[in-house]
Amino acid sequence: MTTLKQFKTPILLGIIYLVLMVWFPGTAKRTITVTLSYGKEMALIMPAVFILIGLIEVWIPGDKIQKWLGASSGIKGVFISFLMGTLPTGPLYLAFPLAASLLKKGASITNIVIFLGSWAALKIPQLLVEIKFLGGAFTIVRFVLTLIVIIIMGIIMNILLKKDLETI
Amino acid sequence: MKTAPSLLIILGIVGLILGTLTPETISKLIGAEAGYWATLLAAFIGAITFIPSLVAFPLAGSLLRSGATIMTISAFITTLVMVGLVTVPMEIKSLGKKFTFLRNSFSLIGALIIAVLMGVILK
Repeated sequence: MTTLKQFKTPILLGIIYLVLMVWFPGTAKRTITVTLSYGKEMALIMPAVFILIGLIEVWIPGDKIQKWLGASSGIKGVFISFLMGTLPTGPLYLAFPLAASLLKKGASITNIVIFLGSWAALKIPQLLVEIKFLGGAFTIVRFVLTLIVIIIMGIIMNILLKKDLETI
Repeated sequence: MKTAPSLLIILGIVGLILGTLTPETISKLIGAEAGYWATLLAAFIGAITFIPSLVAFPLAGSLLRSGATIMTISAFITTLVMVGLVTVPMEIKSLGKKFTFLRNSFSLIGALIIAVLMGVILK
C-alpha cells in the first residue's frame, strides 16, 4: 500500500498523459518524445553521479573536504566551489545529491550554494552557447552579475541555515 | 528505490511542460510585449520550465532580435538556469525543505535584480 502511495503522483501524471493522447494527440506526441529523451539522459548520467559520490565518500577524507570547503576555507573555498561548478557536467538536479554528500562531509553552506549556483548558471559549455547566440557583452555582464549574486546568496543562506545544518 | 517516484515525477512534468510550452508558445508569450510585465512573465516561465541550454539560448537570441528587451531575456535565462520548480522534489530529498525553498526564492529575486541591472548596463 505504501508503494502505491509513493507512486500517487506518477500515476496521476500517467492519467494526464492518457487524456492528452485521446484529446490532444499532437501535444501528447511531443510530450512523450521529450519524456523519453530526458529519461534516456537520466539513465545515462545518474549512475556516473552516484559512482562519483561513492568515490568522494570513500577516497576523500572528511578533514580534507573541511579544509578545502569548510567554514574556515575562506576565499580559497569560494574559488574551489566555483571551479567545481563550472566544469562541464549534466543538469542541476544531478548536483543535489553531490552537494548533500559534500555538506555531510563538512563543506560550508556558503560554498555549497556557490557550487550549485555555478553549476546552474556559469558552466563553461553553456557559456560558449550563450556567447554564440546572445553575444559576448551579454554573456560577460550576466556572468559577473550572477557570480556576485551567487556569492551574496551563499553568505545570506549560511547565516539563515547554520542552525539547521544537522538536519540536512 | 526511494528516488524512483520523484524521478518519474520530474520526467512526467518536464515532458508535459515542454510538450505544451513549445518555443513558439514562449515566443508568443514574451516576445511581443515589452515592459515590466513581459520581464516578470519571462522570469516565471524560466522558473517553471526546464529547457536544455542548446534549445534555450537560440530561442533567447531570436526573441532578442524580434524585439524582446535585454531585461526580459536576462530574466528568462537566469531563472531558467537557477530556479527549478520541476526539480524541487529532488532538491528537497537531498538538501531539505528550508534549503530548497531559500535557494529557489533567492535565485528568483537575484534573477530579477540581475535582469534590471543587465537592462541598465547593456542599454
